[in-house]
Amino acid sequence: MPPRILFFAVALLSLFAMVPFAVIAWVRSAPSPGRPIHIIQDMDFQPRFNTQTLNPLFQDERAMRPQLAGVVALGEVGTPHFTDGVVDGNWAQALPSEAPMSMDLLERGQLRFNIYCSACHGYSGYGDGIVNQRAMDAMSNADGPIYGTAWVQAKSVHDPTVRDQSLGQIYNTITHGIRNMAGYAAQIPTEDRWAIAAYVKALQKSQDARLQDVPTARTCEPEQMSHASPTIDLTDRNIELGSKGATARIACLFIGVICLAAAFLLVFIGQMEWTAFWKAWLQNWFFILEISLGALFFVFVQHLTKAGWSTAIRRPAEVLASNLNWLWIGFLPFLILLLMGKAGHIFPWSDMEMLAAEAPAEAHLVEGKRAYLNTPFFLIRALIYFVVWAFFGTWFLRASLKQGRTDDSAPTRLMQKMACPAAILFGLTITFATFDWVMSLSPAWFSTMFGVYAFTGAATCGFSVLIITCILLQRNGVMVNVITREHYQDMGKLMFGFGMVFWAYIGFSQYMLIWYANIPEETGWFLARQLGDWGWFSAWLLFGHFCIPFVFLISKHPKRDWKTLLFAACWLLFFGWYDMYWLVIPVIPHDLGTFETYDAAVQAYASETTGIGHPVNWLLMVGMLAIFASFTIARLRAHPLLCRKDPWLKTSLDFENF
Amino acid sequence: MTTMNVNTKVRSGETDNTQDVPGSRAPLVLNMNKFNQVTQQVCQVAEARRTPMAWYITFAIGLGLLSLLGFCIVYLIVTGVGVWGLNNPVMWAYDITNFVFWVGIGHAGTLISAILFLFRQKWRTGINRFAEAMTIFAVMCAGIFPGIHVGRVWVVYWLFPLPNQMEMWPQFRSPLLWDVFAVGTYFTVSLLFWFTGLVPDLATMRDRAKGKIQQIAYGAFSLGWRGSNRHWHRYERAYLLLAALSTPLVLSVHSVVSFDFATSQLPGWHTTIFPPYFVAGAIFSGFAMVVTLAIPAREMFGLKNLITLRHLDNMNKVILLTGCMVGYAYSMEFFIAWYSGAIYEKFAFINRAFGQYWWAYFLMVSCNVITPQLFWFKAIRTSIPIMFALSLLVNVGMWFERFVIIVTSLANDFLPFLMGRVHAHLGRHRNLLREFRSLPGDVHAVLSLPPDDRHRRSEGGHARGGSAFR
Amino acid sequence: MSATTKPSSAKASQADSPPRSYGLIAEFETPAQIMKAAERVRDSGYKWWDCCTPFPVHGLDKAMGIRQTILPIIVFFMGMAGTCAAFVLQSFTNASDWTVWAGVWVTGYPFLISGKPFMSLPAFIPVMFELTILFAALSTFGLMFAFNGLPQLYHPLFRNKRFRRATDDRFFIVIEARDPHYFKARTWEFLESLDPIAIEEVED
Repeated sequence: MPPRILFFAVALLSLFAMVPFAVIAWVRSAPSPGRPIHIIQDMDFQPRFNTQTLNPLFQDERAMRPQLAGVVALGEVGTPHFTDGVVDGNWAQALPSEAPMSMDLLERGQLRFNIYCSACHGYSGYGDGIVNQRAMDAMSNADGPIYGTAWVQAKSVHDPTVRDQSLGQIYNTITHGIRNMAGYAAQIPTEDRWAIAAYVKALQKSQDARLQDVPTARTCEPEQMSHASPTIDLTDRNIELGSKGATARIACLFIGVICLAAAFLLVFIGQMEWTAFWKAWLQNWFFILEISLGALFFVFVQHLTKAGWSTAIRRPAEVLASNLNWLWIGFLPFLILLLMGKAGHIFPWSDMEMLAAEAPAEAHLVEGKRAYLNTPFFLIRALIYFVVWAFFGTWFLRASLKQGRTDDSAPTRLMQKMACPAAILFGLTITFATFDWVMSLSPAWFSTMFGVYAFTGAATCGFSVLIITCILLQRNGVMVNVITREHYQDMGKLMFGFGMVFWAYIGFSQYMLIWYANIPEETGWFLARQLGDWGWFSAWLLFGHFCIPFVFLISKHPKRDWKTLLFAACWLLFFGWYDMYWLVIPVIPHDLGTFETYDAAVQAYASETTGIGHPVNWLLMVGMLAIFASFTIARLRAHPLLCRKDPWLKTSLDFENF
Repeated sequence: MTTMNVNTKVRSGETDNTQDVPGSRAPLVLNMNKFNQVTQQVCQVAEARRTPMAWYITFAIGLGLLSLLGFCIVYLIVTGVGVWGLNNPVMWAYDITNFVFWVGIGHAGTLISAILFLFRQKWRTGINRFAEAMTIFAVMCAGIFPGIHVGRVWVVYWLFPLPNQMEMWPQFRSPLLWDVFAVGTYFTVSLLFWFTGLVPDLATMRDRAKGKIQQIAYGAFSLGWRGSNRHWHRYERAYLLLAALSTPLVLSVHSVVSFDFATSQLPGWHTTIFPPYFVAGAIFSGFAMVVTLAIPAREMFGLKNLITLRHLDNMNKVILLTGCMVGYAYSMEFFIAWYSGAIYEKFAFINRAFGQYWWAYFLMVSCNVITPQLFWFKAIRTSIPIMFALSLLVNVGMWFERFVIIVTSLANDFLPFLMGRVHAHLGRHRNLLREFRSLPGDVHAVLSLPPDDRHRRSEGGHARGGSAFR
Repeated sequence: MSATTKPSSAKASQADSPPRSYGLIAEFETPAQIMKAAERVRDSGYKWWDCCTPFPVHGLDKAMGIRQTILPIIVFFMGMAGTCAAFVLQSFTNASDWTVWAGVWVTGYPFLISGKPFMSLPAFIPVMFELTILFAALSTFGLMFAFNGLPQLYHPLFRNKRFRRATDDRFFIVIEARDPHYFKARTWEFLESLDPIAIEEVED
């Protein structure tokens, strides 16, 4: 341990050691009239003759030596045009042949200009270079110019007198100097002086250009340059389909009927079991229903939240939702089958005797649910769903059309009010409809989340079809500038948020909870979707419905471009259909409970196929979609495509994402 | 910025701006036509020279309750978690109830700051700051409970995957560990979100500050913000990103909390609708808490022009909406419990409504589903005293929701031997003092549960045999 | 045009050279005015200039010609890094018995619990998700301030009294002296042509 005094000594010494540095720092920074102390010399003071000083060595005592008369440096003689900038006694108007015009020349000129000229003339030639700036600062001192500075500002090259000078004259000025400006012939080679002169001409042009001077290929449209939105055409020509779409409507109907007929034919000639066919029918029909339900959700949510942005795209959604008043037709086969008592292979609870014979344990469970799962109540419920949907689906379209005929905002207020019961009844009907038509296909299985899952399916299908409809309308020359990329971006966000992310969230939660708890009544449903080919099918569902489109759509750019958005919407619509196939088609094997282990069950059903490649599935999908499209086109043609006179219309047309 | 327009009228001291004119938005702030007035109004709360007496009083009360909490925690740690009445079969009760309750409260802050931001709901700006602050304090409150519930609080760091000489790792297949990550992330992101939003406002405070200390403090925390638009550009992007990240995060946090229950095999806990149902419930309770706090705040600090009647009206609508969602979830649970055909499921729900805790269930349903239906009426949505009362009821109801889910399910296990009740006792008094701490504004309240009968009930409920498949 | 104050500095009279100038600021009253002014400044070719506003003015980015920030792209990849980190962490600690060096030697410990496989992907997803968000949010926050050059506790603008209203209700255009086009008198004139309330010089 050193003595304490040593600590103090060291501390004190270190303090003192700081003093010189502090003094130097203070001297260097404090303003004083004397000469600053020069610590680092840097060859600042050397034995030399400064410019404009005396040199007694020579007779004329000039330190700056003039060139001897008649001396010509090597290579300095050229044409008068090149060396003097003169053509036939006048200033040259063009560049000499020794320094032909090129982009390289201009760039060289810019480089040299910035080195030699900009100090006084400034980079843009206004005479505001750094030298000038300092001089002006000294001049504008509050107590008068420092040391009596007098300064004439460097000339602006944009001054009319300079601007009108020809190329040769500018070259001459650079070479020989003018007024206060010295000649630069000694520093800058001739070619470079021409390059500078050419650049000065270009610089002058750049500050004095008219629109017509710009080559046509490089011109931007004035609209694009300003923020003013393009004029929006709200006449019938732009917002009514009119005669357009007639062919498409007929063609769709034709394709639809042909496809459905072909599907029936294939089943008639024994290519598919009737049971399988009706399940495929159920899947495709429910898929179409989800499109309309998704559109209905879109419509009432806009009213519920008093949204402004969406008014421009609400009519297509209303039309899509209005299809709910005929979609019940697709249910008729099941009505007939149930009434005939032949639906036992589709809805096992409808034929308890058969179920009891095939799977007594399951039948025992289902017995307890007879109060809910019985044919009459099932049909009554279906009737309720159809009435509710048909009512709301058409009511919103009618109310919106009514708003289009009046300046009074009463219909809008009414729609906002009506959105509340619509939301409640929509939530309840879609839940129980899914319980009835999808969950009860495996009558022993249950999941409280299932209604929410069906809602995400409706959002996927409904939003993607709404996007596709809007894009197709615009491709056919209507709604131009009415629906903008801003609307597409928002629709894309909704599809991304509800159709993909929310779907994944609900789907994952349902799967994970059942997987984790591993309770036999529940796991069978997922196990059936992992056996054989279904495993790959499920993996594709995860990747196709979520992972791939997630990465594709997460940026805003693909949402704002109609081509990429159309691609994404078609992709998701397909996976909406694929999801329905995954929900409806697999059947839980009755003997699943008899296997000792999971692996044994997987082994036994390793050859399970999904049957998705069967043409009937695809014929039904295309057929039903085509018929749906045909009806939609017919209704789109019957009404204006825009919610005219809607109070929020202006907000929607001016809408911009932040 | 318009002072008065068609959308406003004055009614009994309150400026009513809830009138709707389709096609035009109601003003967000009232009686102001200059930007400076808004700044003035916002800053005056923090810049007021004299702190109001009411603040000292509430702060003293809050501090008192806080020290009581500290005492209770020490008592709990010294004695053991038994003071909570934790035992077989009810090994989770007040601790986890409080945890879930507080995490839920926090959700409204993130909903307001993130989800409403993504949905371009501009009215959020009137309430988002203190809703975010509420989130942070609520999550801190929530963090206390699992922290002290673990028993050996001195080894809580075992929750984190830290390399150690025992080569012992957390069990990542456990939902309780997911909670650690979810709540930890949630707290961090909420803090970042709150602070990011705060920086430009701290700069305002800095530039207005008179005292040196204030200038330095605000200056340091505002990070040198000067309103540069090149900064604003990145700031806005970052804010949007944080909102976009918080939105799935807020959904995930309460979903993960719900996984604590739903991954189990316990009837009443294992149900797939839990994740969205918990999220809806969290937003429901959180909004109620925002209303509870906003009403006194706007009265006391003179913020009626910023937190207008329309803000309250909108929040009440969100309460109504989420209340309906919660109601939907309750009915789905009941319906599916019956539909499942599983006798245990059926029993769990019958017992929930008519068993020994029927009163808790009754409180839950009436506070969460029935009373919010009053919000269908506009007169009630815009009446300050009624909405205050209803928001308190919702808070009570949501606390009991968690109580009902946790305790009624646990109290009736599969064996008659494992049927019991929960009692909490603190020393000789069998009351449980719970802590309601929130906001720097320091609203503290204390609730105590009525004493419970001490006897285990071995009768009551149906005898339930072991399950063949469990 | 209301009163414009000429720069004055008391110290300059004693010093050899006047204090270095940071630049000029022009004050505006409304967002609309600064929007127009910003377009003019952008089109006149200045590079080192800025608008300071109390709140983000919608459309000012475009008026100033600011390029889109790359922040979102980095954040996306940071998020993905979080996902991978969480997966590696969980599968290493709970599903492997490897010994690796991570600052210290650590060993994974696979153990069976609740009948779940070691590698239980569905059970790993919640933590993977949380860490994705955590990494992305932290990098959003950190990089936003880093790209902005903040925290920067001193700035020449803070010495200007007028500029204090930039966080309250006034809108400023700042043209810095280091801009190659900057020349005080001409820039002053140019700013005057934008019709501000006031122009001032800010010392460095």
